[in-house]
Amino acid sequence: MMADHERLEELIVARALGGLETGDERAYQLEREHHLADCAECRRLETEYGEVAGRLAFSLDPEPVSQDLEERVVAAMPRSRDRRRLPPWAAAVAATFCVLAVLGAVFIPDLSGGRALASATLTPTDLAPDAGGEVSLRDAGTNMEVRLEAWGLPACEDDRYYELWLVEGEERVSAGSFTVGPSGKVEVDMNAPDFAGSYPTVGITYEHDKDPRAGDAKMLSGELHEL
Amino acid sequence: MSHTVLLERPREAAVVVDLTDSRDRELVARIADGDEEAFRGLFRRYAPTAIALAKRIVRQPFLAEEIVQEAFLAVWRDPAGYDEGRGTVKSWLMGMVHHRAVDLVRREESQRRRAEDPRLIEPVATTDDVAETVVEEIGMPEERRAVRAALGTLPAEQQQVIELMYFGGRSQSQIAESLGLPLGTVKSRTLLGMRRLRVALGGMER
Repeated sequence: MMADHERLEELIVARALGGLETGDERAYQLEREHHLADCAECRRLETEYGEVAGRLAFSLDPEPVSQDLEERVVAAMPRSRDRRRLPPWAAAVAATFCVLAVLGAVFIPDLSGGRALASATLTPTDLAPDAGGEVSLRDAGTNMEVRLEAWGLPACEDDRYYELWLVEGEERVSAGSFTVGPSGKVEVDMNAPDFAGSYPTVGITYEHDKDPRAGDAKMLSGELHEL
Repeated sequence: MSHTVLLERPREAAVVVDLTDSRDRELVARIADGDEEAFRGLFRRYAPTAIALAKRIVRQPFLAEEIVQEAFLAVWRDPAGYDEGRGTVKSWLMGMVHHRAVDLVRREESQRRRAEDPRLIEPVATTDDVAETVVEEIGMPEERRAVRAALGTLPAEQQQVIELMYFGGRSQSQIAESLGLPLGTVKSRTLLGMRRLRVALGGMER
């Protein structure tokens, strides 16, 4: 490995500011894997430059935020995290409801939320051969609700997360990010602008925190079918 | 508003301790317990800066709101993503906003196609109704003064490359090309500038 601390500091700085080139990003990830793990000084620099970069935002004049945005964000907050606090007996009840929900999705007209727009069955790539999932898109006014249920995904490492994309050719729009624990399962509601409702493909990538580029590590993908 | 206090340390200069971050960490801990009011508190404190940052980078109010919404939802989904050992809550939050905004502008083709959509050209965030505007914690004037002062200590050429990279969402080679400079010069100016900023801002510890 490079072992040139000044060069590595250069990479750390550019990465903190979001200015790394693709090639340098690969170099940085290699160094991170092989050098930073054992170098407290470089890890300290990474933290400190990240802190400096984050604080640069505060040099800007703050802008008024509409109450409407706050309410939209709160309305979009998935409530599924609350299930972690359920007592053990509730898990069985929840499982029963899950089965009923799946049956309902198949046999009963959908009566919840906005109009169902499209759905996709996700198939795995070589990076997550045991993974699978379902995505459904639903009309939600100016936004579109994107509901994901997935399983068999590798648990997220530190500083990493998954991101769900709606894709059309070279264009892709993020519907949001999520993390996965040791169970490999996730059930989450996200949002995307309604114009992405016509995009034909959905994909899930594994991303690095603070990496400004979309990741190449595609884990799941599927074709969206209009309903 | 940011609250700071001076503490004395043996054999060291006085260190400014930012009490805002301890309040922020408490909010993040409550968010981990599913506390919606804590989430609203964090949103009201930082959304004004987050919107300003996203708008500065993507230049479209509609997209800026999308980015901020997504970043805050990520906080709600995974508050454990915040690691106290790796900086303040506010920097973590702005890092998420910045990451998403830069990601968006880097997809230039995508941006061009979006720009053709008339819905996205119209400004969306209207603030005509003052009563509907969130004003809590909008200032953070002490932090703003500190960061601006730190930026002001930089030679103009260092400040320029840092601002183009951070606020313009541009890569080092794009900056080199636009300024007609060798890539190595851009890299060294960035490094020197950030070293100065690290020293200048280093006095405000958590």
